[in-house]
Amino acid sequence: MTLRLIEGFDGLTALGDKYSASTFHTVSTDEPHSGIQSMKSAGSTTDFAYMPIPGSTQSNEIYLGFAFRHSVIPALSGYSMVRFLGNGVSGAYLSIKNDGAIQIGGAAVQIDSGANVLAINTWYYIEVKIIKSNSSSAGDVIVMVDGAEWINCGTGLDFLAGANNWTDCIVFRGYTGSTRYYDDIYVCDENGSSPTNTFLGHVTVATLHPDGEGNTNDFVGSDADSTDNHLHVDEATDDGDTSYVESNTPADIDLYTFDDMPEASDSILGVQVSSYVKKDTVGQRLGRHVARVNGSNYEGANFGANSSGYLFADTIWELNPDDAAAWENADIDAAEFGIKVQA
Amino acid sequence: MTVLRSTTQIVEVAESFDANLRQTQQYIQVLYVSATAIERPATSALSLTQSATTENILNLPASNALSLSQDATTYGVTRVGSSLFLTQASALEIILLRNVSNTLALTQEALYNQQVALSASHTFALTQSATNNLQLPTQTADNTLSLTQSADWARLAESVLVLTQEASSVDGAITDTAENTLSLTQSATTLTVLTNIASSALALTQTAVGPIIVVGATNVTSTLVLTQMAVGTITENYVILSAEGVSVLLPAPELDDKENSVSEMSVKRAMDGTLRTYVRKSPSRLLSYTFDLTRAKGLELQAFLSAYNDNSIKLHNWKGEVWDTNLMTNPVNYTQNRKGPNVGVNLQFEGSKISG
Repeated sequence: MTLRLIEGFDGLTALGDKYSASTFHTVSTDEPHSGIQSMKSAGSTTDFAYMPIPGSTQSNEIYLGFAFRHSVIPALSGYSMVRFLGNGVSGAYLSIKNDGAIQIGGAAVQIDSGANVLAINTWYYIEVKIIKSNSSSAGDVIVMVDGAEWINCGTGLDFLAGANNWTDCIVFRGYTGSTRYYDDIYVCDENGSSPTNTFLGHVTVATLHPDGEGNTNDFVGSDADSTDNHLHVDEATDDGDTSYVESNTPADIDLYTFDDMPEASDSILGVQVSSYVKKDTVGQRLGRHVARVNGSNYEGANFGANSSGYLFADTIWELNPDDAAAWENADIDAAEFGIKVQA
Repeated sequence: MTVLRSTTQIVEVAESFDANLRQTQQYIQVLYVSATAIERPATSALSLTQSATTENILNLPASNALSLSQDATTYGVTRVGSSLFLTQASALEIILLRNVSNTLALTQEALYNQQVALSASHTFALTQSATNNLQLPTQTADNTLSLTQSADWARLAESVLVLTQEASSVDGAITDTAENTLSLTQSATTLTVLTNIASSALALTQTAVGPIIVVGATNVTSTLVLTQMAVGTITENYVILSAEGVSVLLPAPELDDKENSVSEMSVKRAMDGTLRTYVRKSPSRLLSYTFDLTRAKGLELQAFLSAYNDNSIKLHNWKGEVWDTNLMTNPVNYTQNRKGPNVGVNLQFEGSKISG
């Protein structure tokens, strides 16, 4: 798997439901880049939102893409907008200088984008490539903005603190007096095959909710029947234990049809199924996501759940599992997705 | 052993809780590259200026051909703006004794594909002119200006089509009829010049605009505006004597110019004492002009009269009249003007007015 993370923020009720974040970081409908919500940083250098990257310890290269908009060019340079963490250690960081230029820096080096600057109140799609090694070669650290290369590091530059380290977490930061918005985020690495092993370009995240019952509905709804299960899980804002579906029977599957794609696409780079799940009591219980395409069910990897509260479980299918080719709009419009009690 | 069994039993009890897997929300997130999404403008400009000119072509057909093909395309995932600027000129000058044909044909197409979301604007501007100059008498001057234009767009788009046309003929035929045929927006001007004298001027300006047709809409608006003006102006202040294709230009005569009848009347008394009056009518008139000439002009007049005094002389006067005359003064006496070096001369002509 090379596509590690997809986040458009449209399905989140609160940023803290999925990510560790300060109170100044929220999901907001004020200024979405796409969909209905983006992540908003209300304006403090102490703002943060941690976004772990699943499985990234296998990655030598990390590619991060995100839509970005800010309201004020910082008076001081050096305050990061994005910081790369590895095993708890802060490595390279991306910041905005006091002239609006982007700067990428590390332990002993800073490179900026020169005359290329970020205007305020304008959406940009920024992509960053960072490597595991602390001694870079040309092309190892690159910053792209709207598809144009703004920064390409030289040879032998040390962007990481201390020894070689991987990046397993992205931290999005705020700045005092500036309202920042982040949206349509992806993270991938160099593993796997094209196109999801390098920069993906200016991408969009569409969030689709269930709109009908699927082929199988084994779970029981909170209304004690299984006739309208999709209505218990289709909320744009989750309602916790007010409305849900559940099962403790291994092999039970609950499938739903989903909204159609909102617009035509040139290419689809991946589909991430997200469930907000928990166990109703202690004990072993594993689940899987199921994609039903062209009449066949395809299952993802196991995920667990807590009895102490809901958490998000995500499964990414980069390709259509039915034909191992890229997803197409029609595939997604016709597909069903759901959940299975694995064990 | 008991403790161990007890521990095992606890584990078994814990596994038997048989927890439900509960899901309260599910959604999918699709990561894709939009076919239309577009936040940043991208522009591509291609400008080209060409000219083809043929000059001083005598007695042979002349043609200018200017063909131009342009393509300006911008690809990208962001907002796309394409501009196509085209300037063309085709000119034929000093073409004698042959029909002149200027053809400027231009086909342009600007096509936007996949323009959706946000605002898309489409501007197509075209300016063309075709001009024939210095067309000789009796020749036909044709101006043809044809245009083919199309503007296609898809989805949210605005199109602006601006068109300016001009067709003109300058320095046209002497004494021949000048015709201007206008359609849509055109202007035509004819200026007639007689020798060195501007005896008449005709200025005509016409403008016609419309119709404007909105394809795909139900409302069609047509506007036709026409303005015409014809002005004749006499600007002569000279007398011209012409004979055998040779002319001499004289200033207007002194104030004592005369125009008299040459009819004769005689009174006779018959033998019986009756008075009878005989009138001999003549269409001719006697013109008497006294000129104040410079010495050089006097010598020029003397040479002209010496050569053509027995010829029919065509006289154009300052009143715009044209006379067919014979010189009656013989000999012609030149007198020295006491006020300066000029000479004075009185000439009498007898003849008929043919125009004016």
